[in-house]
Order: sequence, then C-alpha cells, then structure tokens
Amino acid sequence: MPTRRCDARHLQTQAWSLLVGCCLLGCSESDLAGVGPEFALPGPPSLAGVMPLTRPEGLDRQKVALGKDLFNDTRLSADGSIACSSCHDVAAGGDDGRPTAIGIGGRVGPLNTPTVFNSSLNVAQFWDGRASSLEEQIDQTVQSPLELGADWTTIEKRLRADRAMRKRFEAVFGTEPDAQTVKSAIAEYLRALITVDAPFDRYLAGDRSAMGADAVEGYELFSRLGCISCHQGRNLGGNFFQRIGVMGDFFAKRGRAPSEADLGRFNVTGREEDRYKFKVPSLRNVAQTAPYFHDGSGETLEDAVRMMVDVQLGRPVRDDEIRKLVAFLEALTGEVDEALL
Amino acid sequence: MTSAAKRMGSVKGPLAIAIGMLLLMVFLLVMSNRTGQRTFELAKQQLDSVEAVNVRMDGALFMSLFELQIDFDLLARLQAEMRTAGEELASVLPESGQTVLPLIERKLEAVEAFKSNQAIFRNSRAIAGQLIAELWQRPEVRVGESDRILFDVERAMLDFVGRRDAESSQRLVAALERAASARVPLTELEEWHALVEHAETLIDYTNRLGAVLASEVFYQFPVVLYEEGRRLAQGLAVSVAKAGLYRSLLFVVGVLLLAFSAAMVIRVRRYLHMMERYNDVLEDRVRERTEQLASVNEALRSEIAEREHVEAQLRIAQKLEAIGQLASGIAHEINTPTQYVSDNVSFLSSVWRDLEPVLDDYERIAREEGEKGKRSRELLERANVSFVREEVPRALEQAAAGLRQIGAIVAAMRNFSHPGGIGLQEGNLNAAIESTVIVARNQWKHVAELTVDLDPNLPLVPCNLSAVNQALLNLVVNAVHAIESSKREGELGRIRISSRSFDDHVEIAVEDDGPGVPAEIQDRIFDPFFTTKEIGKGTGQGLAISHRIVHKMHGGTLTYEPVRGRPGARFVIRLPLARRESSIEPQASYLEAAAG
Repeated sequence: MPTRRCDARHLQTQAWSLLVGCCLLGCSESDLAGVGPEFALPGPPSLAGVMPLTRPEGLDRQKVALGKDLFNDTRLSADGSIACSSCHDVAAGGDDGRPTAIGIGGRVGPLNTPTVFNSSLNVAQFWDGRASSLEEQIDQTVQSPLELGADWTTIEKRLRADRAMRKRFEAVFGTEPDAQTVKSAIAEYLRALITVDAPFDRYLAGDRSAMGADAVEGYELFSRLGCISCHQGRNLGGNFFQRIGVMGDFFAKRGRAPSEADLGRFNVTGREEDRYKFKVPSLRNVAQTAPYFHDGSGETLEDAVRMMVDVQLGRPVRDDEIRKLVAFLEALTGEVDEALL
Repeated sequence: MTSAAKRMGSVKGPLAIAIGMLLLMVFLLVMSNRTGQRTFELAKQQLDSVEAVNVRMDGALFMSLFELQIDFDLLARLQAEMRTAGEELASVLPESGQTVLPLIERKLEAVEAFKSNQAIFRNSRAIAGQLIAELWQRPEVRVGESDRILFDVERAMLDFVGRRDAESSQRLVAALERAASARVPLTELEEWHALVEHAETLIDYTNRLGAVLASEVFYQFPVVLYEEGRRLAQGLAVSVAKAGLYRSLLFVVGVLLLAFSAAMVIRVRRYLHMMERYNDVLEDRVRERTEQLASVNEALRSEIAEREHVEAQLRIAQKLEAIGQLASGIAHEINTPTQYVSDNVSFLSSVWRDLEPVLDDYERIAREEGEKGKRSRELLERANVSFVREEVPRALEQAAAGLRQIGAIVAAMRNFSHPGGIGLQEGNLNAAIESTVIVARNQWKHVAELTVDLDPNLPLVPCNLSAVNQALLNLVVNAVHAIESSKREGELGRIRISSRSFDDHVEIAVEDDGPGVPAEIQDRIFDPFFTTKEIGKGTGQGLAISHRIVHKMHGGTLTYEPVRGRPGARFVIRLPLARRESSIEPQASYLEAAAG
C-alpha cells in the first residue's frame, strides 16, 4: 500500500516539522519546506530541496541602470584603461575566460576571476570570502593594485566632472557621486544579475523535457556521488567554504606547489583549519566560466569534474558518469535580462 | 501717573524671572530627551534582533546537523542577517557593538567550520555506505573471512555513525585494523582503500564537528546577549528614570511658571485698573475745570454783553433825550421868528388887499390923463405893475404856506419830543403816525416808498404819545433796515403804515416788503438784545423797547404777523380803548420801559 505508507511518512514529516518548528521558533514554515521525506534515512543528500532561481524583485531600476553604466565605466580604473566589465564579461559567463585575472597595466593577479552572475547569493565575496558584502568586494576590487588600482577620490573627481553623471546620481541618491553611492549602484546592478530559466530550473519547475537523459542521469549522479555535499542550495554552491583536496592532494595533482594565494581562507582568518579553504563556487553557468578553480588550473569542465572527483570525493568514478555529470552541469546555464547585458 | 509708571517698571524683574523659568523648562526638555533613552531603546531592539537571528541560526544548525535541512542557504542568509544586525547595533551603541561584534564573528566562524565539516562528514558517510554496498557485490567478498571482515567494518561504521562517540570510533578503527591484518583480496580493492579513507575522514571530521559544536561561543552567545540585554535594560531604566526626573522637574517648573504668570497677570491687571482709575479721575477733573471755565466764560460774556447793552441803552436814552431837548429847543427857536414872519406876511397880505384898489385907480387915471398922465404911465410900465399885481398875492400865499409847513414841522417835533411821561392822555394816533413819518423821513426816503393809510374815524386813544412815537419810530426804522438788507442799490422798497379802529381797540400796522422774519426766530425777536443785524448796526433793543412800551405801558399787544403770499413783515400794535388800570404802569416813561 504505497499510498498509505506515503501518508504515514507525510504525517511523520509534519510531526517532525511541528516539533522542530516549536523547538526552533525562528524557523518559518518555508524554511522547513525543503525538508524531504528522506530526513530520517542516513543516505546521500538529495537535491529535493533545490529551488529554481527566480528573477530578483524589489530592485531600483534606475539604480541598476546607473550601476550597469558604472560597471562598464573605465573611469573606475586608475589609468582609465579597464572597467569592471573588462574582467566580468556579462555577455560571456560574467568572467574573463582567463586562468587568472589581468588588472591595469596588464598586471596578472593570482586568482581566477569569479563570475558576477548570482554573486549576490554567495555567503561572501572573493575566493577567500574576505568581503562579506558586494559593496565591500567592489571597494577592494576598485582599489586593488592588481585590479582596477584606482582610488575613490580620483573616481569621485572624475564622475563629478561629468554633468550627466551628476544628474543621474542626483536622481537616484539625491547626492553627488561618491564612493558609497558608486558602490551601492554597482552592487544593485550585481544583485540584478541573477541567471534564470536554466534547463535545470525548468526541470525543477516540472518541465521533464528541459534536460536530456544524460543530464537527468548526471543530476542523479551529482546527488549520489556526493558532489551535492558541497554544491548544494539553490545556487549549487557559494554558501560556505571548503578545503580543496579533502580526499586527495589538489596541489600535487595540479603539479605546482601551493603559493600564498593557494592558502585561501587561511589568509583571511589565520586559522590552521582554514588552510586551502575556498568558497565553494556556485555551479550555475559553470559551462561558461572555464577555466576552473581558484587558480584557473582546470581547463575544461571535464578536467574540473575529474579533479573534483579525485580530490574531494575520494572514490572511483567511471568515464560515462563523468560525461553525464558534465551534461548535467551544462544544463545549469541560465539567462539574464538582456537589458542588463 | 508717575507712581503707576514706576510700578509698571517694577514688572521687569518678574518678567526676567519668568523668562528664566521658561529657559529652564527648555533646558529640562532638552535634557529629558538627551538621557540616551532612545539610543538604549534602539540598541535593545538591535540586540533583540541579533538574539532572534541567533536563535534561528541555532535552529538551522540543529536542522543541518540532523540533516533535516540539506543545503546551507538558510545558514548563509542568517549569517548575513546576523552580521547586519551586529553592525547596526554597533552603529547605535558602539560599546555594545564592541561586546557583541567579536562574538558574532566567532559564531560565524564556528558556523563556517560547522558547514565545511558537516559537508565532509555527510559526504564521507554517504560514500562509505555506497562503497560498502559496492564491496558486498564484489566476488572478493566471498574469499575466506572477507564477508565477516566487511560485516564487522560495516557494523562498526554504522555504530559509529549512529553514536559518534570515542568508543564507537575506537571499535571502527579496530575493525579496520583487523581487516588490514587479515590480508584478504577484498582489502586490496580500490573501493576498500576508499572506504578506509572515508572511515578515517569520518572519524576525523566527527571529532572536528564535535570540537566546533563544543565551542564556547554556542553557549556563550546567549549568555553574553542576555547580559548585554540586561545592561541595556538597566541603561534604559536609568535613562528613563533620568528622563522622568527631568520631566517631573519640567512639570514642577511649568506649574510654578503658570502660577507665577497668573500672579503677574493679576498684578498687571491691577496696575492697569489703577491707571484706568487715575485716568478717569484726571478726566473728571479736566471736565470739571473745563466746565467751570466755560461757565465763568459764559458769565463773563453775558456780563460784558449786558454791560454793553446797558451802555447802549444809556447811549440811546441819552441820545434820544438830547434829541428831544434839542428838537424842543430848535422848535422854540424856529417858532419865534416864524411867528413874526408869519405875522408880517399876513400884514403884507392885508396891505396888498388894501393897495389893490389904489393901484386900480392910479392906472385908470394915468390912462385918462393924457399928457399929464404920461409920466405915471411910464412909471407903471417900468415897474411892470400888471405882473406884480398878478404875482404878489401868489408869492404871499406861498410864503404863508411855507410858514405853515414850518409850523407843522416844529409842532411835530415838539409833539414827538414831548416828554409826556405822566400817565396816559387821550392822544391822536393818526397825528402821532404822521409826525413819526416826518421825523423818520430821513431814514426811509432813500430806501422805501412810504404810504400812510389812516382811519379818519380813529378815536382818541389813551396813551403816552411820545412813547407810542418811539415804538412807531422803532418799527419804521426796523422796516427800513429790513428792506435795506434785501433790496439792491437804487431799488425802493415799500412801507405801509395803517390805522384801524375797532370796538375796543385801535390797531396800527407797519408793513414792509423786506425778507420777513424766519419762522425759527419769530418767538425771539422781542427778546432784549436779539438782533439779526450786523454788529454795530443794531442794538437788539428796538423791538424789545417797543414791545415793553406797548405791553407794559399801554396794556396792548405788539405782534409779528407774516405777510401771506409775498415776502415781508407786518408788525401790529393794538392799543385798548378802555384803560385797564391794573396792567398799566402809569408812571413809567418809555425810557424806564426801555431800561426794563
């Protein structure tokens, strides 16, 4: 009697939910909605709780438009040569396609450029999570000598000399352009850059034809093999930090000894346990953001999957499983509003 | 006035006190809002929200730990919320932020550590399970005691995953060691190696998870938040108490100010009232003095007027008396020569009558006597005797007439100025009218045509003729003045004097065609000193004297009657024929009557 069994489980779930809800007080019903019926069984985590991404709401459109223009404004770099968009090409995955970033004057940074897409969903910004907000991240990126290398005084001066800009800032913030308002506008733009309608999102929404058979199988493998242990949540990652090489030596496999940048979150917290820890990147739009890893050492998606299986899962995985995982990952590519591109 | 002003000046002191109190109130009001009450309230609010986020976070951790919640989205969101709440608390009350922010950082670090350890534990547990399942499928499991070894390891693994304690971890390690020492083909498999690694990882990360969950911050956090909350509540209580004190003081000062203001208002009102009273008294005095002055002035004026009028009367009386005496004297002086001229004229007339026949004879003889009479004829011719004979009687007649006129004038003058005065005697009023007309001729002849319409059957009337003359003269003069005031130069007015007799009285009317008397002053025209004439011209006595003469001396009436249909005035004297002794003052002369 499968129906009855389901009912019983459902009741059980509800009872648990009630109990837990009473205990936790702060947890709303929607938080509990993601709890699957498998809660009691010690098995592989599933994607049952994954929610499709939805278009952001409640954003100031004028502010977003201003942020977009600032994002593309080379006046934000010291020598006026590059803009945010120079490395974060929103037309191509929101990153630069290079192993590591190139800032003003061709200065090469130590880390791979993360995508700006869905970055607002991350628990923190940068690979090491040193910025807890988008505004903080913009502040650092703009002033980093390896990136835009500018200073706010110069930027403010440049923007204030631009009458049209002044007017737009006046309209949005009621003040002249300054560091705080520039950051606020760009952050608003970044918050707008949520990719939606990926095949996986459509699949989750009930469109079973949205993903191919390989991708669907890849989704199950993603869950069963353990990828989902870290790449979970609606952004499939991005919400915590994890050591690279839990079950293997990433740097040995990479063939290059760890540098300072490879220390990851250790550089931020100084805690031994944070050594080689990085923010688990979101796998959304992952097919567009090659090369991979914090150092850009994973050239292709398959390479990256193999590396991850080796150093994070610590289990043998067949080639066809790799192929299906890649097929699934390719189904994670969504779209942003064309007006934002 | 001066004392009132002084008192008003003394209001300045109390006013300064009132302003001082008002300033004190403002100070207290400001102070009552600056006790930090709002800051404490806001901080408490933020602390509460930190606490709320913390409770939710612990709940989310619990759910994650027991895998009720698979993903870390909720935890990540709560981390952001807690950081925001902490920063807001720090911005409201930095000292609170100093206490709470480091704690939040530690908590967030613990949560991060939990997340990554939990992910690995969960992952390894799942993979280990799968690996065991896969190993059971391998043929190597049937070699020797391989199945027992795998069973042991599986049981130890499940035991450990369920208990997660040191004992079960030791048993798992022991099972793995036993398996390793067994040296069966099963333990050479890749999956077995992976299983061992995951088992070690499980033990490792269970320890790490345990360390994280045993972290002080999890139980410190609520304690610190509670203590901080209590501190904030105390601060709030203190600030509320302070604010309450300030407000109480504010209230007290406010009440004092109100009372003070009321007292001030009462005082000011009293001052104002006093000033009003001073003012009233002053005004009364001024009015009194003004009235006194006015009445004194009035008295003086009437005194002066009276004096002037008395003097004028005296002058008139003296003038009239002088004129009377003079007229009487002149009349006498003229009368005497006139008498003998008259006698001589009548002598010459009778002589001429006697001489006429003599002349007739002489002419006749002269004509008859031829040559002899020639000389006589020449004489007659030269003397123009025929003309003389014609003219002399006429000349004599004219002389006699002239003399008679002189006689009449003199008689009239004597008549008019006759002092009379002793009672009333039968008098011919027509004659009186005529003499008045003659006497006043000089007055009216260039101003008006005067006609007299006398009743020939007018009886003699008991009267004082000279007084009646005076009254008539006044009326005529009055008429003349009235006409003068209204007629143009060269234009003659009309005056008509008439007499009529009735059964018991006679009536003399003087009419003119002047402007008449306006109705509003008709009842005042007989008052002494009343005049409409320009100053200096009239004394205002004429009609009054006439009135007294007629009424008091003769018991008659003098009335004004408007002329109907045309402008003009008509004054009528009515004198009774039968004397009524009682109302007459027999001894009163017209002068006495005039002097009133």
